Amino acid sequence: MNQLLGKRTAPYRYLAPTLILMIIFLVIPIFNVVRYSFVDKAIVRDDPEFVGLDNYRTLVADDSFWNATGNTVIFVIVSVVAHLVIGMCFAMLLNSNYFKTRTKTVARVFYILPWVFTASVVAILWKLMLQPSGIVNYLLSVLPQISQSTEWLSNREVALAVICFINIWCGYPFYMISILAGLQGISEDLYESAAIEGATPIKSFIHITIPQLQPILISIAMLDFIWTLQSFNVVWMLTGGGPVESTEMLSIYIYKLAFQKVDYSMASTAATLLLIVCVFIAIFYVRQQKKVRD
Amino acid sequence: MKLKTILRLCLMAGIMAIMAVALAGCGGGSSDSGEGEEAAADNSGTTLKFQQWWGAELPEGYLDEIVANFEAESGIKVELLTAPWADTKTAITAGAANNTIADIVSVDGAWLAEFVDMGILTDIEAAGVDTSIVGDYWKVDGTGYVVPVNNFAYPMYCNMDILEEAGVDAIPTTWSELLDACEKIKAAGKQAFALNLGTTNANGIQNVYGGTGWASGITLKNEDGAYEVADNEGQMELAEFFKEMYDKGYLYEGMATLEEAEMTSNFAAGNCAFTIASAATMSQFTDVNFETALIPSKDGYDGEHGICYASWAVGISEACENKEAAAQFINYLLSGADGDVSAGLAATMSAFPNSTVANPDYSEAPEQFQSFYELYKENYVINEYIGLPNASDVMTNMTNDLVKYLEGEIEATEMLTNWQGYLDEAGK
Repeated sequence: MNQLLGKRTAPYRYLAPTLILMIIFLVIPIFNVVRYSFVDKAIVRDDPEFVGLDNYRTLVADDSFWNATGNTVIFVIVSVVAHLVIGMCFAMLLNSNYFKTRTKTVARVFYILPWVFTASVVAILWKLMLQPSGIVNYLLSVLPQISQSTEWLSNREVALAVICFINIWCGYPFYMISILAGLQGISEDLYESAAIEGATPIKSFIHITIPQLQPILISIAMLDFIWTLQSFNVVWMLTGGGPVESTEMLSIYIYKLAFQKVDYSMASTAATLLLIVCVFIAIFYVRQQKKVRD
Repeated sequence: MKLKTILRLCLMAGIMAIMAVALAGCGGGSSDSGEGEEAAADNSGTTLKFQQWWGAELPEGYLDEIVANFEAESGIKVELLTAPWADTKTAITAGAANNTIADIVSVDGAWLAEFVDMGILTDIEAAGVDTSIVGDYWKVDGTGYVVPVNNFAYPMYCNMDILEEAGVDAIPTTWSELLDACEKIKAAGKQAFALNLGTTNANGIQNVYGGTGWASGITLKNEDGAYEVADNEGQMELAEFFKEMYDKGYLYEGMATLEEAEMTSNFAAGNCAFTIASAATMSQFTDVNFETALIPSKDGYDGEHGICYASWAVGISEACENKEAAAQFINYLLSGADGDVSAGLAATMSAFPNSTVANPDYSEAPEQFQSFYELYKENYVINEYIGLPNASDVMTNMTNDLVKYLEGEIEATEMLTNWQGYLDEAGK
């Protein structure tokens, strides 16, 4: 009986450490954040009052929330699409036969550099270069019709575009590496057969490369979507969400609610909504992965 | 029931039990430490925790030496919990939420009202802090909660090389002189005046913009102590002065995202003629030929100059079980060794002591600091944001409106009306 019990419980005993850690570090914090979103004065009061959906009503009536949501949507869509396109271009370049192996190796190291920098290095680097008296304006000053003192990060008209550009710059290598691995896994026979049938390179790309890469493309796009949605460090260090909330993302909006306004209830409410979006994408991602495995 | 099903149920019950225990731990149980709890006659064995950012800014080991000397004198051990300024508020708030808050906490003026509202702080006078030996201590609704130890005044730093190159003969003392000087500096191809309106830490509205107003007696509050901005003639003049500075291109480029640290590092690099920053930053300006001065005042103003200040201040947490010992330590910071502890802290950090018994020796301090000390003694310090509920959020909103006004998106009246709204709504 003991032997049978031991055998039956073995899987659960193996799982127990992971489950306990997940409960402590994942389930309880998420549960608490969701709980805080239904009370008033969470954390700052010993006896917070249950307010039902009031916090959610307040949140959707807040213009700053919709401003942050709009900025986040633009930031995420532009970043993910640009990452995909640029990553694909560089991956195909590195996978082509036009360059020698040594050139490809050097280019690979060169292209991957932005990805290995930490967020603080990226922020400081670009902040210095984009200062009104920085190197970017200096280099642009040689061109006609270009203002020498464009305030790249302080001008509300261009700040969000600049933030998107910097995020694209530091994120495309992940796509490049993933797609390159996928490209190297596509059999040359497919391309040879297509060429014999008279397919042009564009047709080969559309009918062979894209379908073959589809599982990888969807997976990395989903992951990137979630990562970019949660982006905080680079934007915070570059602009702090300014000027005048023009680069304020949902992550910064939540941070300011929690740590500037000390309103953990509203911060938790916004975080819960963000969590719901991320969960939907995560479910889609897991299903996609399952489909690939099957 | 199958064994597998039983095991699953047991696992689920276990998970729920762990969650329940953990959540109970996260819940805010009330502190049972009574205010009137008697302090132990013998202090040996008493340990206090002191949450602060000072240790991160003082020379290494300086604060440790102070607490070691205090322990030798009183038998009370003080354990230092040091974090950067930016993380201290979060550490205190989180500590209050899970009942692990330190006994003594350093408090920034912008946090005061929130901490009092959260019930984090206790009455320092009731605890035994000697408020008769300080120039000022911070109250909310008549109760003293926090006492500053060091005050950091905000002078205007002037890069004398840039002034000379631009042909500015003397440091400007009035707004019109400042405008003239900025015009010459701009003509010489240099950046004139720094106004930091970044919102990572939106303190430019307080230190630079507000400081310029206070230097001319322009305040946010009326004589009754209530915030009165919307119909405030002085505030209107101040807004128009900065608008003129902006329109004429005298303000440092990139001001809308400029942070205080960037502003001072730009001055240290010789990139700007005038910068308003804490006297504590003076040690950074080793490679600049600079002077310190009062911020220029409105033409015709002949009253005393208000000087913006920030403080290293301390309070005692409500959850502290030995408030008398905590008060004893605060008294030591203010008056220990005939005021030498406070004096030493002030001299080390280029600050001014709040303790009236401290006599700091500034003989080793830079000449510019000593000259500003004389100006400091002749005038008065002011900061109307201290004790303002949700001060950080209010200052961020005010900063955003100021940027919109300077860029011409809204009128001054609209900006001031908005400000009035933020100030009236703060804390409600």
